[in-house]
Amino acid sequence: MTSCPTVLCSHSIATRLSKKLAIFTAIVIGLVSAISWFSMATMVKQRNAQEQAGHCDQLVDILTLEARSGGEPAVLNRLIADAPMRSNARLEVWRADGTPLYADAPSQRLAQSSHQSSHSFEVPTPGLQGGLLRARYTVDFTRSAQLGTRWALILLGMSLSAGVVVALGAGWFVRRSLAPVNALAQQTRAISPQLLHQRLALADPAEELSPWIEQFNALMDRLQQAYGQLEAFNADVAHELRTPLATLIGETEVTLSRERSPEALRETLQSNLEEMQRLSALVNDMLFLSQADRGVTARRGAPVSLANLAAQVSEFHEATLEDAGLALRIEGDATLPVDEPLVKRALSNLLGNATRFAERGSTVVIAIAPAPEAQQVQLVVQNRGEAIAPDHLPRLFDRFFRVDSARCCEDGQHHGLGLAIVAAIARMHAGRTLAESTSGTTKVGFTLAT
Amino acid sequence: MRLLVIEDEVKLAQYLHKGLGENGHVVDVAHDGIEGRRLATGGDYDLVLLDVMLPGVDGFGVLQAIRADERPGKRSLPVLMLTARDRVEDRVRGLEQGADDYLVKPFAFSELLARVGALLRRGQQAGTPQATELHLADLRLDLLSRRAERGSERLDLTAKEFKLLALLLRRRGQILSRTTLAEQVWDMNFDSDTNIVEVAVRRLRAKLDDPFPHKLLHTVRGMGYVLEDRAP
Repeated sequence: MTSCPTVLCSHSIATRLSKKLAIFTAIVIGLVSAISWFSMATMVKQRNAQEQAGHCDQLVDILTLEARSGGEPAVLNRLIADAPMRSNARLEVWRADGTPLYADAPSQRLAQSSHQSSHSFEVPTPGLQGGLLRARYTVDFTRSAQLGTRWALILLGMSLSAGVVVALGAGWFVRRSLAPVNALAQQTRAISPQLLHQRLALADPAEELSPWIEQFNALMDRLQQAYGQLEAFNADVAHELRTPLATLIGETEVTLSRERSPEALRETLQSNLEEMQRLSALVNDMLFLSQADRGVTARRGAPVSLANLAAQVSEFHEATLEDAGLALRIEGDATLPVDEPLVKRALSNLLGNATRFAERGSTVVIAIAPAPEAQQVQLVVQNRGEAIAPDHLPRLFDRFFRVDSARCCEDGQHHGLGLAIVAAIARMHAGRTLAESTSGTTKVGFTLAT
Repeated sequence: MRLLVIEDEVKLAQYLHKGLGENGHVVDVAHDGIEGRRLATGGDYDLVLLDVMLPGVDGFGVLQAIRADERPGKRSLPVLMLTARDRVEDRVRGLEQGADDYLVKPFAFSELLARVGALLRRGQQAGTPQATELHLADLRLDLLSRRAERGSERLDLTAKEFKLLALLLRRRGQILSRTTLAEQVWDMNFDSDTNIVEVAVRRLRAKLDDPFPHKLLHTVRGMGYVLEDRAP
């Protein structure tokens, strides 16, 4: 356990829980046992002491009586006669002047025992010399102490074995309760790129696991969608590359198939060059998108006026706008730090789109305004023109998505990544895209986090 | 002009050798950093094209050696870095260490030629004031009053059209790609929709060439545009 790296260090919930429960149980039962043992021991001690005191009182009464009726010999006789009754005790008696009168035979057990209690007392004997006898009564409590020790051992054993039993039981129960987690792990293991549609489910759903399962399944939904998009994107890329490549190959083959004049060869090379530059532009755009996908963020510079950027971009589009018979207006402004080339690129793509789809003679508007969300500014390019179907709007920013391939433009200029790039640039600025199309006005734009 | 190409990719080095040679330069090629460093610090070159990823010593190492070799009074050797990685850090590092310009691979040859031309001119024109008037055949551009004339006729150009024409005229005879034009005229530093530049050039041509029999602005298919006085 000590050698494993921190991240990989894992523990078993069952083991931990059962260990802790066992220790807890042992402590609780141990405490209860200890309290009951101590109170019992105190009670036994008290009772022993009372008993001893009782015996002493009895001895005083008996010896006083014997002394009165028969003097010292009667006392001695009585002591000898009663000796067998004092199995766990020893009695010693002295005359008033200190000379020994009587002593029980010293028992070996009593001599060795550490659990004994002596009680000294005086017996009033008016008829005898000195008027009294002194006595010492020693009782051995070894058996009682042994009983206590045995009890203590039994209670300790009970506490420990209760701990062990609880540990085993808890371990078993916890493992049983965690069985659904294992089932989930097995189900998760079965999910692969080929089986992305699989979801986690439990026959007997546990309340604690449901949110986890729901979240996992939602994550899988998102992943499946992203994976699907990626696959479609790959297919699209292959398709987009295949067509110009086939043209290049075919054209070159035809040209080489017989003798050609230098002019004809130059013509082919030039045409190939154009085609290859389109391919290169496509690959560059895809690289840009993949960089954005990898989470590259915008390099924001000093704050700039967005209206100013929009004006620069519209100057760039001046000729195409005039060609399409369109006027342009910039509304609003906001000053914020952005990645200038990226924002210009996004605006240029939006403006290019608007120019292609706008009605002749209308005005294209670039509107800069605070977005509904806090801390966001939106840039929207709006144009008059044929509405975009509502079900197409959300897909507008998908890669290679074309609203209508017939409507636009198999001239090879527009490979369908323009708005995907706008979306990527919005993402790089922690913004989002927006698109709406109502009553002949189409608004497409994006937001930038301030 | 004597150029040194330090590039380990043989095919690319070959085509640079051929292309630059045909454009009037004398070109030497080194295929690794050690050979390149020896030639660059020993030979008398007007410009070095330097790849970043090189065997032996990398481009930054060669660049350091070139700059360390320079003495006061000697003209600084212009270095154009070629980087395969479109990584800002590389570019910043190159420029910080004294590269004069950089180009991200893959690049268009016309783009390379334009940058080489600009760097060589920068070396020559240092100190000489910029001309305020440009001429080509019967075309005359006054940069101060922003007047453009062909023969006696004044051309009615927008501000950007004037800037575009001035750029083409200043680089007469050089093919300028659409990307270069978008960058230099409109400050659009990205692969833009090439159609936009095409339309802008077409509108310029409508004012510049259409009314006149002698055409000056020519399209080079797949590469860009060139302004030159070709024999009819």
